[in-house]
Amino acid sequence: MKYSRRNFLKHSGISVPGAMLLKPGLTIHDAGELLLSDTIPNERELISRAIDSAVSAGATYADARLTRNDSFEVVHTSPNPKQTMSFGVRALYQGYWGFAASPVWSLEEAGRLGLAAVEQAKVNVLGRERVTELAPIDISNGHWKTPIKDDPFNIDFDELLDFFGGISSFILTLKFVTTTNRRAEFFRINKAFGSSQGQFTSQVLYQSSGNISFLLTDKGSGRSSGRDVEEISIAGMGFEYFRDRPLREYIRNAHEDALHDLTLPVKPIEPGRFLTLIDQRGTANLLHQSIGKATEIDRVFGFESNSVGTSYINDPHVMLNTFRVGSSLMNVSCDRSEVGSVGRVKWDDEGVTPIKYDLVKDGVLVNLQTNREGASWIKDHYDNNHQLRSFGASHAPSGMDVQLVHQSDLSLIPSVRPLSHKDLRESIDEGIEFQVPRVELDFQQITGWTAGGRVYEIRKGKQVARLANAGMLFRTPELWSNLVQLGGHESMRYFGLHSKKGQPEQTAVSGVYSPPCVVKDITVIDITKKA
Amino acid sequence: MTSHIKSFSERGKRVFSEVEARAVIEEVVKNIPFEDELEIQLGSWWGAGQKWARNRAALTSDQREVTLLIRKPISHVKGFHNYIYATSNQFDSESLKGICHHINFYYKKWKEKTPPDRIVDIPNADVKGADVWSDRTFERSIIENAEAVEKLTRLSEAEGLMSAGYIETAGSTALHYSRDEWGRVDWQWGHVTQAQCSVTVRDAGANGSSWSGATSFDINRVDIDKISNYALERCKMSMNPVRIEPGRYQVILEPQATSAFIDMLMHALVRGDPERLRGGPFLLGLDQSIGRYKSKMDLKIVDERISIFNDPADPHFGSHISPLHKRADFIKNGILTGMSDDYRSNLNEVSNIFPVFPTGSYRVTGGHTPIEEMISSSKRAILVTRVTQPHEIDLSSLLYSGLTRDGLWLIEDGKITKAIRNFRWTESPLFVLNNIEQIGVEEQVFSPVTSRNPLGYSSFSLSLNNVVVPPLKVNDFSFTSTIDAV
Repeated sequence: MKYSRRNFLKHSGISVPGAMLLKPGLTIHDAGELLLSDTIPNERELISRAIDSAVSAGATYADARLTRNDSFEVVHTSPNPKQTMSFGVRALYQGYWGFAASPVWSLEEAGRLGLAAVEQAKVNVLGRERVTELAPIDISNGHWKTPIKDDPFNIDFDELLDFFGGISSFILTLKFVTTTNRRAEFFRINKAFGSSQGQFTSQVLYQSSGNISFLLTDKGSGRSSGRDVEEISIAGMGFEYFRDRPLREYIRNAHEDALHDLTLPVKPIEPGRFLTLIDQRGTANLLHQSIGKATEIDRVFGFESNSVGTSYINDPHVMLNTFRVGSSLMNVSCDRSEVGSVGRVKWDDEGVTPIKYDLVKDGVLVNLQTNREGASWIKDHYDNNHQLRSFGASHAPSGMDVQLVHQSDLSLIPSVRPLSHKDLRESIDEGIEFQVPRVELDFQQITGWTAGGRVYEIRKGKQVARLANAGMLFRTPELWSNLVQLGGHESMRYFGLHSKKGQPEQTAVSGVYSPPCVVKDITVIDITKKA
Repeated sequence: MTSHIKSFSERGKRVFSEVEARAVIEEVVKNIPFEDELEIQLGSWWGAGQKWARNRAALTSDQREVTLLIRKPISHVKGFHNYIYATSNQFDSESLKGICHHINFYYKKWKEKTPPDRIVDIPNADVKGADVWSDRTFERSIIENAEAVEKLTRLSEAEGLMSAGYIETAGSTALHYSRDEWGRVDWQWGHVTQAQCSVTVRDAGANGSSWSGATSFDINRVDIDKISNYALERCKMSMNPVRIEPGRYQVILEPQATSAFIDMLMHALVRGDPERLRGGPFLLGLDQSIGRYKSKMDLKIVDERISIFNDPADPHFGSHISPLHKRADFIKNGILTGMSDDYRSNLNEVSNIFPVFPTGSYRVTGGHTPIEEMISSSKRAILVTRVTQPHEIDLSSLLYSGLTRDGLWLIEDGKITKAIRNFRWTESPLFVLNNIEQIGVEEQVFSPVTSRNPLGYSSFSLSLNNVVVPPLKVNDFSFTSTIDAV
């Protein structure tokens, strides 16, 4: 049987039969019957019914979300599709929130969910007041789709298998390579959002993710060295994330580095304080945790204290605009409109258009990541700095999950000087280099350590030895205060990083753009050493 | 077919019954040619959550989810299994046809290219698990939860402290259909409920923090008032912790802390990753002469007072839908008596590998020493409420590093004298279990299944994580640095 694109859609289950008739953009359909037009009366109708039901039951605010998440993988013989459709309704009643969700897309269920959300909220009205204020919002209506070049859901699966098979074959031709692994997974997230304030938006978000790794073994010396291709993680792009990028060049570079590793002697680490070069991935991991997580407003206010933890920012009213997180080289911005970033949206899950803003300016904490409710908790800050509004950090993985503040895409602003990773290394006379360390921070994001990754001794600008079991030990403000150099714009790299929070637990993914950096006086220890 | 899923709109309808699930699966089976193996699982889940923070209810939620998973095993080479599968949560006939088309298309395509491979026989279960369905949990009213939260947050507010926490009651059903290569069909039905409550109490200035929690299939075994009061009292005790030097200390690990270390051990013994088993401390490499892995089986690996087992007939552990679930003794009187692995990963060249499905449930035999006596008999020791964020540093020795959290106290001359700052620790469960001074009475700890869908994509099981462990007094525990987080 000839395997055509049309057959793929038909047989993959990625889109149910009939879905191939869908026009580009809007693929959300009712659970029972197919929706063949892009005028989306059904989503509007379902959402309106849910909101009407909530409002007539007494909700002062309600929002409803329909999501359809489709994904498939390119690993083996079959794309193994996953499809989940969800319908979630959130309602506010006398300051208390209720939420109801199910997989059923019908008008009857819309009515039930709207009512159930209010009933959930109502049980909490037991005498004490809960003040919930939602920051004002510009009412938006419209449709948006991640601008992609190549829709992975429209490519023949055999073509994808061939593409990745070719990558594996290429890797296996390289010197000393013994094994290689690769996988790719593609996501399409259709979402529609409406609220009792009159918004209605729909979006189609695409995400492409993958992992390519290989292991070199020098049979002569018995030594081995492995690499993940760091340029590949998860991005808000189509198949062009793979097709239009020089994967073979990335692989060759990683392979050369790995070959170089095999020539270096391995030494134990002598603990001490060192001038330290941290690669893009290490810097991104540090940033994601020590700045990204710490500035989520719900963590700051203790809403996550019974799960993932709180934040070192324990008095935001005083600390905003005064607390020094790092040296004046440190500037961190938040932006959910960055092209290709996995967190890119037109509207967040409260219908807010995210804006670009600074989290850290010249080393000082200047903002927190907010949703509509959270923004109102720091009204005084907004009064002095911005118009009161959510910055657009509200997110839920699907309609089954309630919206929480999840990290937006972060950038560590690079040096204006065109410094490469290699330039930074060459500027170091005596020091240590960390590549891809695993970063752990405590439950207030203040004390941290690293383990794993690759650690090198640097002498006169060159890697001269691998250091075994070396890890950093740091406090967040001291780490960033000791920042002495950042790579330039060309040295920036993008990573999509996952994080968990909430009860029930949610996993979200956000982008981090980071250059490599040099930090002085970093405490480096033997991480395997007991007391 | 839409009638089944639409039934959620009926009031009170939260999960599939066996009859409803069977109707959906039978519809699927009609669409898949009768050849070779086939597995189908239909799971449904309902959860009611009550979250609070800053002494006020933050969110009350009601979530219902269903998952249909269809798969055909297509190859089984050493340490590697491969399926064609698809999942969906829509059961109208068009959607079902679509996903069956997918399975059929790729199976046919694969079969044309590849000669079939023998699949390891699935062993039959020989134990019927205890029932862990509780109507009390399933019927629990959200008003009761809200009132409990109202009461406990009033108390913490009156003390000037901040309470945050979560109560969840959930129910889950799953029907599993399997057909082997000879056409023999097997149906397995399972249902479980889970209740959980956890509370964190902090003071507004972040000078003290404490935690308490419990899980059970039965909401009546989760005493919300007790959990909350305990956290409240412990928070007052935890205020203004002082910094003491890291180093080796005698520790008293409360059951919640003990469970974290047993988890590390079980993760190396049980969970279905053959690579981990090979890299871990229990396999000693392949003996070429007999073609088997040498292992530490039948050798003493921990203190002889320690036995670890999982018995599905134990009412703490309850029913599992997995066909592989039977009693497993992992450690008996300190001696390694069993390891288990996903039966498909073909480590059967190792003797005594249990054909047991990996679960997160286990029981550790206890002793008789009450925690009070452990404290009063200590000259200088540290009382540990719980440990978090354990991360593996070295697989071959099971060395982990992690943190203490929500309550750490110094004991001097038999008395708790001061709250102390949290530590980072670096320790192996093997060291902990070989340096036991005293063992207390075992109890069930907080260990909820956090996924709203207890059905894995790569495995068929429906289970709770029931963990029963004793408190331990352990010598020379290694605290490697202080941390700032409270």
